[in-house]
Amino acid sequence: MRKFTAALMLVLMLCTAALADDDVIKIGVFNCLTGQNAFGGQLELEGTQLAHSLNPEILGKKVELIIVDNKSDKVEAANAVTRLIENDKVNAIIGTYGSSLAMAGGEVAEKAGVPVIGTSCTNPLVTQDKKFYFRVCFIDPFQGAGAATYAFRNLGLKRAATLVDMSNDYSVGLGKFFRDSYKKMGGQIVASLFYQSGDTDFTAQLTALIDAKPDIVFLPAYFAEGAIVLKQAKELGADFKFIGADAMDNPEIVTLGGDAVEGFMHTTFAYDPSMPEMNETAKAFTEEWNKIHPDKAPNVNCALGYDCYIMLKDAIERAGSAEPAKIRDALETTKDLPTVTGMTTINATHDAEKDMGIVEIRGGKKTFVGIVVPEV
Amino acid sequence: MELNIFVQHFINALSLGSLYGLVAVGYTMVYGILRLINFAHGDIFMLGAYFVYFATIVYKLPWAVGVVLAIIGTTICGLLVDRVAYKPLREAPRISALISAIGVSFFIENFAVVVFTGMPRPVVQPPILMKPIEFSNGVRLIPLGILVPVVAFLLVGALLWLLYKTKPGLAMRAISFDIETTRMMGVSVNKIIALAFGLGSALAAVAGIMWALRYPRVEPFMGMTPGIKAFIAAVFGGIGSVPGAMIGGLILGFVEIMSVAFFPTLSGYKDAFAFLLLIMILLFRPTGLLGEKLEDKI
Amino acid sequence: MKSVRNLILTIIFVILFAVFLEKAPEFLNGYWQRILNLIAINAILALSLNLIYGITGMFSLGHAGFMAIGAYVSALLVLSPAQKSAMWILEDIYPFLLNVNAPFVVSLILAGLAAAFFGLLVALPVLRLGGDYLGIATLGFAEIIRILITNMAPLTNGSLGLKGIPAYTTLFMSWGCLGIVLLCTVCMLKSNFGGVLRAVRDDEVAAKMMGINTFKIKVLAFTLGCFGGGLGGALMGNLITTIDPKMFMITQTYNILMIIVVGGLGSVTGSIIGSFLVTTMLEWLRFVENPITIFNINIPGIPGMRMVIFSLLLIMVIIFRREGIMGMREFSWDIFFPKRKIKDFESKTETVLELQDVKLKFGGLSAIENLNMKIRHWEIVGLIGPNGAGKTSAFNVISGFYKPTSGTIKFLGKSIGGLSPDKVCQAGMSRTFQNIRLFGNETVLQNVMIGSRIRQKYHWWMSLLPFVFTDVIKEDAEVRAQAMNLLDQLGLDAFADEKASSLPYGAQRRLEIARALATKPRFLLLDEPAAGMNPQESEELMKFIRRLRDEFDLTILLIEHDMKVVMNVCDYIHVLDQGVHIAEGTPEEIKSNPKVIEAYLGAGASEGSAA
Repeated sequence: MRKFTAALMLVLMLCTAALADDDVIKIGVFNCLTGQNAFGGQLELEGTQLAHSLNPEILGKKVELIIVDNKSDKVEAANAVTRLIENDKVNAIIGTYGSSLAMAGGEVAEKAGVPVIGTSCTNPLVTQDKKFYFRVCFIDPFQGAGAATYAFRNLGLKRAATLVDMSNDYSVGLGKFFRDSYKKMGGQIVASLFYQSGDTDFTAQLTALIDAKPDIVFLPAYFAEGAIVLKQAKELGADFKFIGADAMDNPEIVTLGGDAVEGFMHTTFAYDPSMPEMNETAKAFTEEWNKIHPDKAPNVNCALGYDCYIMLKDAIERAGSAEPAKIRDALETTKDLPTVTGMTTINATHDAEKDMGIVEIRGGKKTFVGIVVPEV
Repeated sequence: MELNIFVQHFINALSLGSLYGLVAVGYTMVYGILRLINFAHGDIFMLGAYFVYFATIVYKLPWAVGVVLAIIGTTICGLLVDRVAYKPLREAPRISALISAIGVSFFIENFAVVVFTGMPRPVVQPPILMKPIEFSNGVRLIPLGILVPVVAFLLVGALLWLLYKTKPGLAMRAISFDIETTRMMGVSVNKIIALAFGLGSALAAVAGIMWALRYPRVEPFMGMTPGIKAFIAAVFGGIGSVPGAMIGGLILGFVEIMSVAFFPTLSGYKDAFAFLLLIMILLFRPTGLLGEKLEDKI
Repeated sequence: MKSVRNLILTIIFVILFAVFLEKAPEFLNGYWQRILNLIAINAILALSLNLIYGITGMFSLGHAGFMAIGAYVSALLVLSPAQKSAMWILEDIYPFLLNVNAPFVVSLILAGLAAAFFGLLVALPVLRLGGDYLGIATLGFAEIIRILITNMAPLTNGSLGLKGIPAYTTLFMSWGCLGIVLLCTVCMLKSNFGGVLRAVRDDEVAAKMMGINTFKIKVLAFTLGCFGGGLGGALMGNLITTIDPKMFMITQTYNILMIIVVGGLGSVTGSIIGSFLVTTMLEWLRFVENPITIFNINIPGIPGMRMVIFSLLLIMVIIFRREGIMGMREFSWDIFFPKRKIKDFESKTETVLELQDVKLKFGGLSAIENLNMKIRHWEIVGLIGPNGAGKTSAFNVISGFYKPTSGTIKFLGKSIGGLSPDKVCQAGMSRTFQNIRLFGNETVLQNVMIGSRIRQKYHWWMSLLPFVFTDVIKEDAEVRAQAMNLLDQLGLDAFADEKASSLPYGAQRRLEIARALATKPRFLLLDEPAAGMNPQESEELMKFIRRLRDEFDLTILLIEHDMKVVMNVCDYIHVLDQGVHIAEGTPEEIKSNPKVIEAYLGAGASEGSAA
């Protein structure tokens, strides 16, 4: 049996082992195309694909995108990255939505010495101690502080509460950073409540929040959950405001939440189709996106997927080579690169330093309010 | 806790509990007759919600028409699942059918991802059901919150009537007792099982529709959590017992809401409380609250 | 000779495989090495769940929880203090935890032990539950474990999980662990203890009657399985290098369950084949999500198709091979322990069973009223009465399945009222059942050997390493020889290696008696031994019962409806009617007792309606 196994593996290996081709730059994409996070991963992939179709060649070489699903599952994420590196021999990798998936894949890439650019994995741990992991997004402590700053300074609200998904690292992290910053600025945290991913009924938590009488509630949820929270809050007659984070950034939030999301604010990357002044990259992106997807407005996930490719292209061009190690070195020196989500600079911890925007739902439309500078 | 807040929690719990009960009733009915833990129940439930989404949002049909079509569509899907994945395994060990059910569950979920994409979709909520009634002390209640328990109790009543007062019901109970003997009595067992399965799927559809009305968002994995919760609720009440499932659902709803209400700082442990209570109940009543006693015949 | 040959084959195979693993990095790239690792880990997980569910028959949905415990224990032990202090960014880590450190192998063992400890804690309360209720209770515990891990951030870093776990899981590690687990499992299952595990699965009631403390066995098997779960989880964590609570949801358990059912529930070989198939299939099917060109037609990749096809394949496998690929069969080189004949089947008896005012009530209903009975040594006593008279209830009270509501039962001078069936059996009493309760999936020989387990001295854990604890091999060989001897005496030796369920009816009856005799009882209870026999068979049975008494020095109490058998074979008869003891005496006295005749004729009309 086991000899048979070995034989079978050899055959499979021969079938799948790709021949190294010098004229092609291979870029692997691992993202959650199925599973719990499919809604985010699919959007990011579409952004990356758009960037690829607009820039099919780098350094005069054809670029091939190799897309692998990670099923929103850690084991699969590690397998997917291994496969990209070992079987497809990719030069660099883009991905993924979900920090825990990025961590699982990052470990593999780190050993193999292949650079990865994270799309929207905002947890500080993702790039911690990593030489080869970068990301095009800013990180949770920055964003938590941003939301707190906006609530306390710009809106002048003194009593805040948090409603956090206990089983989601993103949500837990943001909640904690929000509370810390808000308290540091002199605000009061009146309640801190939790739920679990997959919950759909938040009436108990919301009723407890109503009882605690905050001015504003920080809700670092995914938009699909967040819209339901907002709906139920309206049904229960909650009169406090809600502020969320970048995972709430999705045009669908309005269709899901209806009039319950009116007046809802969230921090996000400095891009929204409603922005009055866009940079050239963002303009080009929006135009091209609308051509391909006339029925679907782009959101930050699409933009970040796009930006990863742009950042990678920039690095390869500056390096003058598609060798993984050289790409890595070039990525490290990315500075003031115009991307869809504003100017991107990679800092010492490999995180992107960029502006943070605030979006509010006004009249059933996502409206870009402006830039906020967090008091970190 | 002030009284009005407590009353609000109580209303919330009733609304959530009866929804759980509604999902659990369909679950427990299929179990009671086929002895099959239908892990795909949550996914059939999801299909019901998607049918409503397509009927009302995509094809812009009136809401009531959409609901009827969704129930019919889901029932057909349920029958198809039974025909393809469960019927060939009727005589097989129970675990085979169980694994087949897990396979069906994976299939429906991923099929939905392929066909509907992972993007959550909205659902039309008839405004008449959603406009909150506000009492003088600030307690709020939406009409849907009354409709769900009413529908749930009506369905339980209808189901009990069917099981205990009609011929097919008698046949169903006979099958759950001893399938071979029932077959020999000239009952066409396969038809009755198909009927039970169709009924279970229709119940799943109703639950899915109600769920989507209450939490207006449909997505391919929306059935997972309600599926597990329904399993728990059904076991609370004694799996196989229709009134038990309803009671189990209510208990589950109350535990979840009240644990948050009384221990807001421990709200992260909410589901642990529910499971702990479940295990405690099972230790004292090993077959749930209303479950039939399993005596080993010697 | 055959066994030597098989042993050599096995050793050669192991060496070849070790060489393969050693050379693997040269010709298998990292991706395939990772898949190979996953196969081994999945096989460990599948074997351990198979031990719980497939072999011992406990429906457990909690494996993911035990994996989680193992993964966290191991990860916390192998991570360096520097890594730990950098990782706890939300809450501070417990100071004591910061500096605990252990080598990888030690952490693996501790991971297994921790999972086993929690398994034991879970098993003690919930293994009283049966069937699906056990499934949901174990699922509940797994979820509670996950929720605790999510919430106890100072201990586990909460939902952020742990990362940067050194990738200690190498091919040698994972396959080495699998090898050890496999060796221990196979040895255990081949020993008589393994037979006991399967007996508990096949018929718990009958196993109890063989003197087996089935609860203890179940707890043991569950705990052992949890050890495997923890070990697998730890290896998994060290392979993926990062863990978080979401990895250990119910779907993880489904995956393992899928593997063992596809491979064949209860088959060790099946678990390994299953993990190979499921793991490679999931990876191999990735091609359907990439764009493919067939005959110049470009098919774009569809995300999600892989799982759709995989689930369809799963359903098809189950429908067309419902028992899984291996069913309950095992791969083997035909290894058998040598058969040695050992004579002597000594037994001494000085039996007196005495029932005083025994009453049994179910709720308000009285099944037995004031039963008084005295059975002397070497007697064959009949217990008769119309249907519903309470005969089987009396048997159940005597053999410990029911606790008497009041009254005393003395067996060999000791009170046994209220003792559990296994204790009663150990005191020297054995029984058969009205509806035959053999361990149908076991061979005739194994059925008898299970009855001998209570007299074996080796501990269960010795069966994991029989080469070290040679007592296991020795004692099993003795028991085997004794069992063969017994089968020989009862004329069943020709059937020794047949499946018990394949025997003709009369032979099954005799096998049940043989199995009862294997516990070396002094007192035998036979529940309707002649049921379903034709006149010729019951004629033989009568001779057989007398011979039993003489050869095995037994005292026998039997229930029988066949009056011819009763009157011919019994020295003394007790008559029950509707729970009341209405008469006793020699067969002659009973035949002419008007009360007995009345009871039978009066009850004649209602016969068939009561059971």
